[in-house]
Amino acid sequence: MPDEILETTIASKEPEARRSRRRRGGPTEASPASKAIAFVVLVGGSFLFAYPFLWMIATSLRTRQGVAEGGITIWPVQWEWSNYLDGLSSFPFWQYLGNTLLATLLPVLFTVLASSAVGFAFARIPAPGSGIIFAIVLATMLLPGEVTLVPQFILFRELDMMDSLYPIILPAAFGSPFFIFLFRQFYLRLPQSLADAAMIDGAGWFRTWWSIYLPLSQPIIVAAAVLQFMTSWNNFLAPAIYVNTERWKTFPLALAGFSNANSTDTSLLMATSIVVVLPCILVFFFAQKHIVGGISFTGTK
Amino acid sequence: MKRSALALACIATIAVAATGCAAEDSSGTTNITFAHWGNNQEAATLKAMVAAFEDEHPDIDVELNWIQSDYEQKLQTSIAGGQAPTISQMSNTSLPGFAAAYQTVEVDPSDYYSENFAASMKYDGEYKAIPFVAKPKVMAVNGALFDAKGLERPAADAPMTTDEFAATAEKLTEGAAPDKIYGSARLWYNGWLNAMGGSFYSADGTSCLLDEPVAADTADFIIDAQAPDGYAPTQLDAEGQDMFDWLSIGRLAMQPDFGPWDIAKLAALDDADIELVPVPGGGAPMEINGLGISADASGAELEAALTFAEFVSTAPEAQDLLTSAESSLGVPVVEESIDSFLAAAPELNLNAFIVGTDQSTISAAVAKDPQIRAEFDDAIYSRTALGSGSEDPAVVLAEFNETCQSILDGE
Amino acid sequence: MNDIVTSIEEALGAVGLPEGLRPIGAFLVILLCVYAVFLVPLWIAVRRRWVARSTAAFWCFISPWVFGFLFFTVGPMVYSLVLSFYSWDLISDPVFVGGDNYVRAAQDPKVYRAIQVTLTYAVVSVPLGVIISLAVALLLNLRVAGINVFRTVWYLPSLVTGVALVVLFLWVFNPNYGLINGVLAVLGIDGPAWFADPNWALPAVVIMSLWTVGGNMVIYLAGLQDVPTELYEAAHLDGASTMRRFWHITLPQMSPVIFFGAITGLIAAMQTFTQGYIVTQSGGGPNDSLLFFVLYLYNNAFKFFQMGYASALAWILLVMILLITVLVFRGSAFWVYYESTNAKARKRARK
Repeated sequence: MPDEILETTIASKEPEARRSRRRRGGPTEASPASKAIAFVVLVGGSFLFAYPFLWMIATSLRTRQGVAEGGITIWPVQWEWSNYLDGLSSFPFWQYLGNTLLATLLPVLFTVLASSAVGFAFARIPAPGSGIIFAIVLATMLLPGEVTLVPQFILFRELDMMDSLYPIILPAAFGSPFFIFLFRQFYLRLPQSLADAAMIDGAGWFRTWWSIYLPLSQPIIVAAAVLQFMTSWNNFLAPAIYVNTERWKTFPLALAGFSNANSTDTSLLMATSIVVVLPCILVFFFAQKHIVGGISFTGTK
Repeated sequence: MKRSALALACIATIAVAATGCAAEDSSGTTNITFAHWGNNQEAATLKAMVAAFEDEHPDIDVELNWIQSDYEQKLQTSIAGGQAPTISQMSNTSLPGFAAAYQTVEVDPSDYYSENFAASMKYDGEYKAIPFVAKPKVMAVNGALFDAKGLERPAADAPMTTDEFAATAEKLTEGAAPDKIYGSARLWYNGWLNAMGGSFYSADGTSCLLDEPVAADTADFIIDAQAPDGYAPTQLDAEGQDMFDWLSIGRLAMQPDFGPWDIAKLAALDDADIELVPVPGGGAPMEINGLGISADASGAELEAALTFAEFVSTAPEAQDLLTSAESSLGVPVVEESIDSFLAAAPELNLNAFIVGTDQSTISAAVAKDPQIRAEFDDAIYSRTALGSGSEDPAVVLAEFNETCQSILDGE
Repeated sequence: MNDIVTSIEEALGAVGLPEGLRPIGAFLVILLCVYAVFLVPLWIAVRRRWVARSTAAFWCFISPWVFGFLFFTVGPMVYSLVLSFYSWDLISDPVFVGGDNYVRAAQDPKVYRAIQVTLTYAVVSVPLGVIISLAVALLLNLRVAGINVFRTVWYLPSLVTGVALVVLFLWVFNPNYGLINGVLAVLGIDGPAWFADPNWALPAVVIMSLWTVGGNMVIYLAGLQDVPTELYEAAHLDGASTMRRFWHITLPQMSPVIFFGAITGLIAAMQTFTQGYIVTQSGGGPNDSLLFFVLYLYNNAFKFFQMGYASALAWILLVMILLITVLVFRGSAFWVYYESTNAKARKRARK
C-alpha cells in the first residue's frame, strides 16, 4: 500500500514521467501471415534449443548400459526413476540446499542494494570526476577472474574466512558493474525534477534514493536479482576453492561428485542436474516479463 | 554527527579487540585435515577408513577435505596460501611437483608385499609420501564375444604377447561405426609403450627415451589399431563414451587398461560375462597413491598425522576397506588384506590385480612431467596419425625427444 | 593482517558472537574503520566547505563499489603484477627474476598461437552472436500465444552449467553418436570430427556459444521494448514497409544495445576459458586449435607450476583487452545512435 501511495504522489507531481515510460515497448504487432511463419520458426527453434535438455531428461531415466546404447534418441526405453532418488541421496541434499540458498540469496540482496545506490549516485548526484569513475566501473568488467585467484585466496585466508561461504558471498556483495550500469540508465530516464522536488521537500539524498528512486526501479531490481541468482546458484569455482568440508558445500560441487578422472555416472549426474537447474528455470519463467520491461540502455527519456 | 559517533564506536571496538583476551579451549583432541579426490564411491571408502581410525584413536579428529574436481589446482592454491591440509592424497606421478610441500617421512619397504609401493614414493632419494593404495591395471574381456567367434578366452595367469593381442582383437572386430564391435578399447600411448617394453623416461628420470625404436613401433602399432578397418576406436569414436559401459553391453571385447576403481561396478553387473586377465606384453604403468604430510605440520599435529598415515597405510582393518562389493578405490598394499580384497568379488579373477602390482612398472619421478606431457600430447596428436596429423612418428618422436630432454635439463 | 583479524574475532567472541559469525564480524569492523578513515576527513571537508555537499554524498553512495573494488580487484591485481616479476611454483618461496617472464612470453610461440586462437574466436563469434541474438530477440518479441514458454525454452541451454554441460556438449558433438552428426547423417551429410579435427574444433566451440545466445536474449528483448512506439506509429502512417522500419527505426534505436552486446561479448570472448577447458581436458586441442589465452594462462599457473609466468600473461592479456576495447569505443562513435547526443545536435541545429 505505501508504495502505491508513493507512486500516486509521484505520478501527480510528474505525470509526463509515467506517460513517457508507458509509450515505450510492448511486443511488436505483426500481420497474421507473418505471425504464422514466426510461430513455425518459434516451434522449430524451440525444438533445437530444447533437444539437448530433453536428451538430459531422457538420459536421467536410463540405466548405465542404456546411456551407452542411447545415441541421439530421446525416448528413454527404460524408465529408471530410481536414478533421481540415488542421485539426490548420494549427498546431504538438504544441507547443500541450505548452503546454496545462503550463497545465492545473500549476494542477490546485497548486490541489488549496493548497485542501486551506486547507480543512483552516477545518475543523479552531481560531482566532479563522476564520468571518469563510471568509466573505471565499466572497465573492471575487463579483468579476467582466473588471474586473481591466488591473491584473493591469500586475502580470504588473512580474513580468516577459509572453509566458509563468506568468500563466495562477499565479492558479490559490493555491487556489480553491469547492474550499476543498468540502474544508472534507468534512473537517468526518470526525470531530474523528481529528485529536485524531493530535495526541496527536505529529503536528503539518502531518503530520495531509498523512498523514491529505489521503489520505482522495481523492474531493474527484478532483473538484477534474477541475473545474480543464476550466477550465484551455478557458481562453481569459488566454492571449489574455498570450501573444504561438507558443512558448506553447494550444489555445483555435488554435481562434480558424479565423475572422476576415469568415468562419469552420466544418468545420476543428469538426474541431479535437472533437479538443481529447476529453480533457475522457474525463476526465469516467472520473472522474465519484469526483466525484459526493466532494462534500458539509452539513458535518456 | 552520526558518522563521527560511528567512527568513535569503531575505534572503541579496535581498542577492545586489542586488549581482548584469548580463550582457547583445550579438550585434548588433536585436529588434522585430510584432502583427497574422487567420486561419491571413492569418497565414501575414504570416509569409512577415517571412521575406523577415529574409533581406535578417539583423541585424534580427522576432518575430511573432499575436493570434487581440479584437485591439484585447489591443493596448490591452499599450499600457496599457507593453508595446506595436514595430509593430502598424492599420486606417484604428481608427487615430484608437490615434494617441496611435504615432510620427508620414514617408510619401511618391508611393510608392503611389492617393492614398487615404497619405491614410487621416493623423490630425490627421500620418501616424500606414505603409500596406501595401488591402482594396477588388468585387461577385462567380454567372454561372450570370444565364445561367439569360437575363440579361446585369454589365459588368466599369463599375459598374451602384444602380437597375439593384435591378432585376437582383429578377429573379434565386426561391423562398421556407429554399430561396430571393437576388438579392443582405445590404446593409450603411454600405457602401451610399457606393454611393448619401452619407457618414457630412463629409470633415474634424467633422460627421455622416445628416440628409441620401441617408441616409434608403439606409435605404429596404435595407428594400425585405430585405422578405419582396425580393431580399436579412434579418439573421436570414443569421445565422451564410457568404455566400461561399452564392454558390459558387448560393444567392446577387450579393455587392456581396466583399473581397480571399476571393480564394484563390475561386481554389480549380473548379466555380463566379464573376465579379468593380465595386461598383454610388459604390462601397464601402475598408479600408486600415497599420503603426503604438510611441511608446515609440527608437534602434536605432526604426531597425529603420522599415526593416521601409518594406520591407513599398514593396518589391515583400514586396508580391508579399500575394495568391497559396494565400493572400490584400489588394491591394498599390505599382504594381510589381500584375502579381503579377493573376497570382494569371488567370482572375478581379482588376483590378476595382485599379479599386476609386480608386473607393472613405475614411471620415474620427474618434476617437469606435466609440462613434458602437454608438449608430448601436442606433438604426437597434432602431427602424427595417432591424432589428426600424418607425419612419420619416428621423426616426430625423435624431434620431441630433444624438446623433452631440454625441459628435463632445465632449458 | 591476520593478527588484527584474530584479535578482533577474539573480542567479538568475548561479547558472545557465535564462532561462525566472527570472521564476518571482524570484516565488518575493519570495513567500519576504513569507512571512518574515509568519512571523517570528508565530513571535515564538507564543514569547511572545501567540497560541495553533493560531492560528499556522491562519494558516500559509491563507497560500496569503491571498497569492493579496492578489496577484491585492485589489491589482487597489484599482487599479481608483483608476482609477474617473480618465478614461483606456488609451493616453494618466490624468486625475483625481473622482466624475465615478459621476455619469455615474447619468445614463446604458444603465446602467439593463443593470441591467434583467441582473436579468431572473438572475430567470428562476436558478430555472429550479436546478429543471432538480435534475430532471436525480434522473434521472441512477437505477441503470440505462449511466448513466455518459448522464451524460457530458448533460454534453457544457458542454464545448464558445470559437469553436466561438459557431458552434454561432448555428446552433442560426438562424431558417431552425437546430435549434430546424427542430424547431418539424416540429411545424407557425413559430419566432421569436430573437437578432434584441428579445422573443426574452433567452429564447434563457436556453435556451442551460439546455443547459449538465449543468455543475451533478455538484454536484446529489453532493448526492443525500449524503442518508442510512436516512432513505429509514425512510420506506419507514412506507409513504411517492415524492412524499412527495421533499417530506419529498430536498428538505429537498438544500436546502443548492440554496441553493449558487442563489447561484453568481445570481453567474454577474450576471456574464454571454460569451453577450451571442457573440450580438451585442459590441453589445447588438436594442433593447439583450442589454446585460448586464458586456458594457456591457467595451465601455466596450475599445471606447470609457473605462477609468475602466468601472472605476466595475465597482464599481457589485460593490456590487450584494454587496447581492443578502446579501439572499439573509438570506432563506435560512427554507428552508435544515442538519443541524448542527437537531441543536443538538434538543439544546435535549431539555433
